[in-house]
Amino acid sequence: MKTIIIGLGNPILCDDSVGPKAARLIRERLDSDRWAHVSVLEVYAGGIRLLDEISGYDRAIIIDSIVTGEAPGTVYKLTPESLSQTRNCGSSHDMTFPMALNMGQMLGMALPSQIHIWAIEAKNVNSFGEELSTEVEGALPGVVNDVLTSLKELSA
Amino acid sequence: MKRISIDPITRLEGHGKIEIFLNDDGDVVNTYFQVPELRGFEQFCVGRLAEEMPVITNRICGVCPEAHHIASVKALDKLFGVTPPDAAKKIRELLYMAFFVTDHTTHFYALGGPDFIVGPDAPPSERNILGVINKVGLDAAKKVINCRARNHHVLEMVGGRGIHLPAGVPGGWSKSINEKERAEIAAIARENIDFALFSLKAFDDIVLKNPAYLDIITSDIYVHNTYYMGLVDDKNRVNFYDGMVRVVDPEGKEFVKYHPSDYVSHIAERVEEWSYLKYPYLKAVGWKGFVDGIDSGIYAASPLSRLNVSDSMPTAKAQEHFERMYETLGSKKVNGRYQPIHHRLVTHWARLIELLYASERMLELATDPEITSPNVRVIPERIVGKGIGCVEAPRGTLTHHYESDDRGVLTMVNMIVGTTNNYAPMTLSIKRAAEKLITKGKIIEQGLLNKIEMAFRLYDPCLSCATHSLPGQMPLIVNIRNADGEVIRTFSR
Repeated sequence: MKTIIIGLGNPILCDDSVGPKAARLIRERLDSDRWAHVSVLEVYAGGIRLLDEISGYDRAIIIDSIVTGEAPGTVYKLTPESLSQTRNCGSSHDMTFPMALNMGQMLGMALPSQIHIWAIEAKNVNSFGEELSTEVEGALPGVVNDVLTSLKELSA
Repeated sequence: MKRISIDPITRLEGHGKIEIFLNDDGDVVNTYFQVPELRGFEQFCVGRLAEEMPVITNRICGVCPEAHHIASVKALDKLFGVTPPDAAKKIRELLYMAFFVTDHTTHFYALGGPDFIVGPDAPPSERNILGVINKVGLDAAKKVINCRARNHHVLEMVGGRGIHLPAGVPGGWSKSINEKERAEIAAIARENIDFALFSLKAFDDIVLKNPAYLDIITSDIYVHNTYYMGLVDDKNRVNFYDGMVRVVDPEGKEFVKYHPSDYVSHIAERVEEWSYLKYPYLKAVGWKGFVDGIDSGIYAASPLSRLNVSDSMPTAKAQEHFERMYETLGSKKVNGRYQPIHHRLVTHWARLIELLYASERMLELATDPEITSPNVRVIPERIVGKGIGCVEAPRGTLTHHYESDDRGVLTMVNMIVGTTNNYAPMTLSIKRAAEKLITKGKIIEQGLLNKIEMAFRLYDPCLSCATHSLPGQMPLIVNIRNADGEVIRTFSR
């Protein structure tokens, strides 16, 4: 199953960089021979740009920060169906991710049949910086392990 | 005093908030347009090597990384005292045209489209890209997606990566274009021209031929007699990549034309305590508050502004549509150039004319024999210590200003981004819309939120970056508060 793992976020906006950081760690731990069908990418925008990246794959795994008001470092596992409520992955410049998916389906684009989303509650996404807050830093290894475990289970 | 709060703004880059204050008679006193603060970019860059800036600044924003990248490499050319070979300048401009095509297309169809194509009074559930697709048809929607995809391919091919391109370097570009790539880009540029003409035709059929939409465009709801700013070439024609900054007054007379490196002498920034934003204005005219007219230093920098400051378009088809737009709006020629159009919603039309210009210019560059020259880089050998780079971003004039020590380590970074130029005009537009729709305590509810939103959406504002972690499209909430600040009514959708 052709799979893409996307770390979503801005690498210079503190906790927002958790997605790209997770993607880098996952890439290091994937054996290139066994996981040739898996691509790992760092992406900074939702909406149509995200749609462009996942089209052509059978499965997409997206890792992103989220701001809901819960304790920083809390990890959520979401599906596109739950996105319309959480409003994550929205690029307000064009459209939300669920709407982009909807559009892609309308236009008959080749979209993944499975989309899994890991979201990590962020503490600070309003300052420029490359470091994560302690809480989000603490959650990162667990997310990386979970994604890899899930990838193995899904591919078994 | 009553307070109406609209929060958050949908379909905008970043998260903003509008506050409308009414007096005891129920009339609008003030409108405040607030955006969240993203702290510390300048401090974050000081102490870094100047040459890192093109790949750092293109991460400021998820929407226009290409604009920051190009402004940044132009600033570095100056900071390192090096002139790129002609082929490198042309490659940069070629890439930039592909970016403009993508960005203007996305704005027109995904952001502005719901306002015009679906209509300002359509139910909110249809006022989105899906509603646009229903109206223009699946084939047209596929054209939009294909347009984005093929230009994304050009950005990847020329820029070295589709996202956060790394190819720009001080003194030029890090890779040349071969003949096979050139031919492919030329074919894509031709498709872009067809697509731009198709979009102008759609605008004509759906918007201009619809009296109700035409009324909104030409009504006095969104008219401000401000100054305008944009880059022009040596014949006073639109240029996105390079040129002099030209400012015209509300009557269309050239007020000043200056080199981008002199921006500090011409532009000052007003700070208001209620906002994180700084409001740029023309120093020589002065700040007179949020009012328009020849005595107020407020200027706009947008697609319409760029056409307003130009005597003509540099390409043939764009020139035809340029003339048609000014003639349609009843603009007269004075001293050989059209008087400015002050109707802000015409910005959407101007954006499509720019889409056509960018496509035509892309083809010119892709068929220029020099574009495949392998000579694309001059290696910098000295450090001047100061560099200012300027381009037209889709949202307005973008300036990067860096200073460094003699090792090339940054000591100062200042940027005026495209949207910043338009903060004051946006505030004017929001206030005007609110005044027209709220009088003596009577609120015209039908389309109120849409019309206020339309007032600033036309500027295509880009208020922050990394928006995917912030809420995207959300329901609108409007609170109406009585004179004691209590919420007496809530609208939401």
